[in-house]
Amino acid sequence: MIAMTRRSWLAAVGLAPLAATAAENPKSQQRTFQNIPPRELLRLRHFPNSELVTHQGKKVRFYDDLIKGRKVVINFMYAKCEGICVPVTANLVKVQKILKGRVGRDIFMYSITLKPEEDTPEVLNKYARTFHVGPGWLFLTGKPGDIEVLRRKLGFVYADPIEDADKSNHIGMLRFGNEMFARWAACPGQAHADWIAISILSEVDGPTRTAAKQTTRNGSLAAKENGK
Amino acid sequence: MYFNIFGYKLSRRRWKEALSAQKNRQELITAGLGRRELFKLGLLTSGGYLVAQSGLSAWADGCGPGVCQLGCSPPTTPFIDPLTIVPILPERQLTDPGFATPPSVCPNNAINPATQLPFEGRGQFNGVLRPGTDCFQFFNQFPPQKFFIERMRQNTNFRITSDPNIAPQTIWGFNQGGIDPTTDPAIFPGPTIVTRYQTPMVVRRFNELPSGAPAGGFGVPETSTHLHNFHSGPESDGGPCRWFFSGQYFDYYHTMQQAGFSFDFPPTGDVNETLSTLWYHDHRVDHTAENVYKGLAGFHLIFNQFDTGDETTGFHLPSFPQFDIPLFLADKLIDPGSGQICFDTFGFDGLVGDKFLVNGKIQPFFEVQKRRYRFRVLDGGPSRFYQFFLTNPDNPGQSIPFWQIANDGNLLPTPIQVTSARIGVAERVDVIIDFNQIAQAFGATRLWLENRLEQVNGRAPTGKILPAGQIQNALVEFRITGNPVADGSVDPATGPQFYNLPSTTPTPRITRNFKFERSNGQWAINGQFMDCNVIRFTVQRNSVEKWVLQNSSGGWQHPIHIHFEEFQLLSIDGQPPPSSPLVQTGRKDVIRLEFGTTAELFFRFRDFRNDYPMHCHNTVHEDHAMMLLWQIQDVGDNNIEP
Amino acid sequence: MTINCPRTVRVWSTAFSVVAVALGGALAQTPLTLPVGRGPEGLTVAYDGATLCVWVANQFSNTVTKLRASDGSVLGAFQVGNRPVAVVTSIGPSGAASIWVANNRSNTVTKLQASNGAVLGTFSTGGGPQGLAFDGQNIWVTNERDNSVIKLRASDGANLGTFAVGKRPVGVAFDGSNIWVANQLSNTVTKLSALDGTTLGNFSVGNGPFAVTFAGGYIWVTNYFGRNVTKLSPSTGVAVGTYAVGDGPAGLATDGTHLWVTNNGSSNVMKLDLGTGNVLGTLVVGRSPFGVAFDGGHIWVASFGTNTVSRL
Repeated sequence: MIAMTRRSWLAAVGLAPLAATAAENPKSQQRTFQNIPPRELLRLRHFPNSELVTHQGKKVRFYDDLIKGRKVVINFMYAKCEGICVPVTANLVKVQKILKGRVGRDIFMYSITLKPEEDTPEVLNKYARTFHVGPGWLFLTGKPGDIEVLRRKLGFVYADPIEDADKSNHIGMLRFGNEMFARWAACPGQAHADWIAISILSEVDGPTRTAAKQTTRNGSLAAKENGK
Repeated sequence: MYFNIFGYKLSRRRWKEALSAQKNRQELITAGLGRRELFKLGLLTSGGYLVAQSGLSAWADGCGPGVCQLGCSPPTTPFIDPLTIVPILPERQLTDPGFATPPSVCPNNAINPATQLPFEGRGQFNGVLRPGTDCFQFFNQFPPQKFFIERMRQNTNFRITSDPNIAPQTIWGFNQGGIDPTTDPAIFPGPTIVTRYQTPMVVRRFNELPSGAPAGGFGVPETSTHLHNFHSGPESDGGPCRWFFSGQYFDYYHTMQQAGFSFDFPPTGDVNETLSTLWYHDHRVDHTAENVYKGLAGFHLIFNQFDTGDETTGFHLPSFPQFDIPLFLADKLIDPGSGQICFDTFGFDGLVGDKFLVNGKIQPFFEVQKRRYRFRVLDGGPSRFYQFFLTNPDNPGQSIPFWQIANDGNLLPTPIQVTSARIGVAERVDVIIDFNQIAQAFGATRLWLENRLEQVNGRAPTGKILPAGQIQNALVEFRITGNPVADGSVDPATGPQFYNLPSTTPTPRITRNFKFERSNGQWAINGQFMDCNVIRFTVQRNSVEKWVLQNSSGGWQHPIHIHFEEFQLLSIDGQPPPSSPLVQTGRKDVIRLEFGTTAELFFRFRDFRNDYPMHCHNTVHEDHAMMLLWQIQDVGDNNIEP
Repeated sequence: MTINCPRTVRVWSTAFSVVAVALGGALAQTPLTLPVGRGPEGLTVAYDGATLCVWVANQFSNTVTKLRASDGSVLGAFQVGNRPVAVVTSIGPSGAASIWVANNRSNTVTKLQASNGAVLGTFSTGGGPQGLAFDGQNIWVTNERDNSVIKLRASDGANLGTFAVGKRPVGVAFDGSNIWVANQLSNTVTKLSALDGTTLGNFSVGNGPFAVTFAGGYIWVTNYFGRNVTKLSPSTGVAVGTYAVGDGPAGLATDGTHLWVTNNGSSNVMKLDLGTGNVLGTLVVGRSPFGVAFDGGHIWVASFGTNTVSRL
């Protein structure tokens, strides 16, 4: 940041005091503060309504169909597993099993491709079948421009937009949350599957998770955790 | 292809316009033009926003409602608010209605029918009750004598400045324990807890935070309050996995004895392990950054027979509270649309703000008398490193010394004269500034506490020290008033001796190595990530260990914090820790690991059992897994690379 | 199609976890992995008489390990200065090889005889020597804390000059005429004349340039924070291509046809086509790989996280 004197600044910008000030700005700016409600704020910042295609060939809108009102787990991948071999996907398969039937009911998992040019729905379908993914877990592709926007908005990038014009290769993070409660967290995809599952449940269920456990002491996850 | 912050495509021309608008705005701020000048130049509307001149519009794509980034915060005028002296948390009696069920050695696990949750959150681990765990260690030997209550609540009308460009804030903070929100609202920083050694205490914290989607889109109503960095049992330490829900309370009990009280320095511990300036803050795993940023933090001070709080006794340090002032540094970003503090939970590089708050007010002023003051300076995060200097704004070229007397809350063996001090997130320095001596020697009538360490993103400071006298870097303006007054405090120039450093000669039972590494965009310790269910290694109770922390040359800068004990640095990059220009000697609990640094730490682990964390205190890194759990038990393991 | 997935991160703590993924038959053998000292970062190749050897700098053990390339047997470990991060080979007039080690915390380089590891000299550098290159006569060392490079005559270690470059210079390479330095915090490379150290240009590359090498007629730079490599024309300094790799690319080597990149953050090694920049294959060896070198037949990689070196 260059420290400028008043004089040099005025010279540099070349401005004289103006007559029509507020009038020039179509959005006339009063000091009324505009509080965007939290879900809407997060939607604007992070959840565009991009049109995507699932691995089953169905067209969906990202926010309206996949996120709004839901509990979700999101990651990025691509099918041509070049060595690092998606231990994240393998981990997520375990997580889906630990979550026992909730995936597809009230928790939804989304894996979005980093290479939409290569990963057509057919390719993703084959990938999903190879990993034996259960229902409620969608693999998604779309127009490269839309996927790019989505990747940025979901935070799977570096902060500097100009630098990050290149595709990023395998950011191994999971982002999960409860959209209705505007509650989001992230976890490394290579952490232990048990930990990932527990972290997901903490976010999506909040206090109802513990409350439920107190009254029904038979939940398998409760037994597992209480045994630790 | 260019994108604006909302991810919408821009033509190259518009993108350049947005960038140049942002740069112009930043230059305006740098030029120090006040609002009055901008208004006179016709550049400000009556609403206080920059008009839409090509290149200047506040609404040029780049900033706008909902945008939370450097350079978008509305302009504010510095030094229009007096420094808030944070209120002291009042003591309560057990007759207080808040103690209807009194604190007990084991947690109150009975289910509250209203919430279907246990009344007390203690005994829960990662949200699930483990009956029979987390009873207070040593409770019967040191029964509590002082009691306090705090309630964590939302406050929708908290002012951080009287500048009309900024709205009243919605914060989450601690109150003073009362029920009525109008007379006892939640504040930021939270009330200062003032205690003494050898006076055991309990603070009961009620979580009364609202559920549902939080204002501003950040903040999670589950909390765990960590007392950084007291010698507490894990059941009272407020670790990352011991969080509790809204609708519960949690009793935090502290023996108020120094380390070694049950082992080699019975019955009260080694006085050379005395801590003075601590802070308490939320520590819920995965959400620490946003919760602390939202306001859940405050100071906790400890006095004893040496650091008495009365300058006529003991070490004669300036009297509390009039001349002993805690300063909580917090940098924030403001959403230009809502005028509110904003935070984006989807980032993971860290956050640096462009508004400097001290004790909850943007760039306040503080009238001081011509005598010595003690300031306890804390970097409250989330990610910024500070290096602060004293600047005479009327003569910025002057190099003005002051005295550093403590590091991370540990009084140094003797004061060290410095011209600056550097702190990372969670680090504290205590300094003594002699305003009388400075007024005479430098002719100063006002002084800025000025941050001159350049940092433009959450990763690390650039290392550049900015020139002195830039108003946007000033934290507090001290206004020196009146005639010299009686000063009963010690003059640091006379070389007073405080505590001795505990010896580092005993042979460690084991040396452990920790590599801090990058792993697919996340941060790992020895290749592994945080997991509440994994305890990585076991320390033998009442033994000595050496820990070697290694950051590879490709890494970020990390301030690493270990709970429970203070350490001494045996070496940093093979050399003994320097005391100049930056003081790295003495006892500390946060070690700054810079690019390629290796640090050797000496620890004694005494008295308590069970698990504690080690983690990076760039709170955003911490929430992205740069943490591990370790434990103390009667028999330790031999894992040298856990 | 079944895919062999590496075991999860937990397994890295065992000393010899190595998994090769065959893709298109490109990488058929199982890599040979050997334990070395702690925190290995740099490595180089040198002949000891007729025996081809690999030298690895173990930064937390303050040693270098000498291994026989043919079978990986350890021929010796030698004490050097504090925090050895890089090694390079120089050839003397008689053809004898010397090994140079950059000691990042002692601000020196150590010169060792390749035949027996005897210390031939220790020479001062600037602050924080991090990268090494040999131009046929001289050793060039980047001083990461001083933002400079120093030129030392290889025969006797004489200081031939110190030259300013960008912020936090890390990697350095020789292209036959000029020296190229990667400035990690300036996001640039500096081109200097190898004859007299004059700066011939500063060129923009990606985010956090770390390693630099000359391969296939071009200068290649890894961008540690940008997760890609930049290919530059050595004559103009203009970037002719940017190619995505893994997280934290930190090491570069060429086998004549391919460019090998170690991804310190994603813990894998990629093989790129020198012409197109396409990734032809990815291999997983050790955790947090750093240095990489070609011995004429095989590629060697040092894995900082698992304290091992692997021959691919």
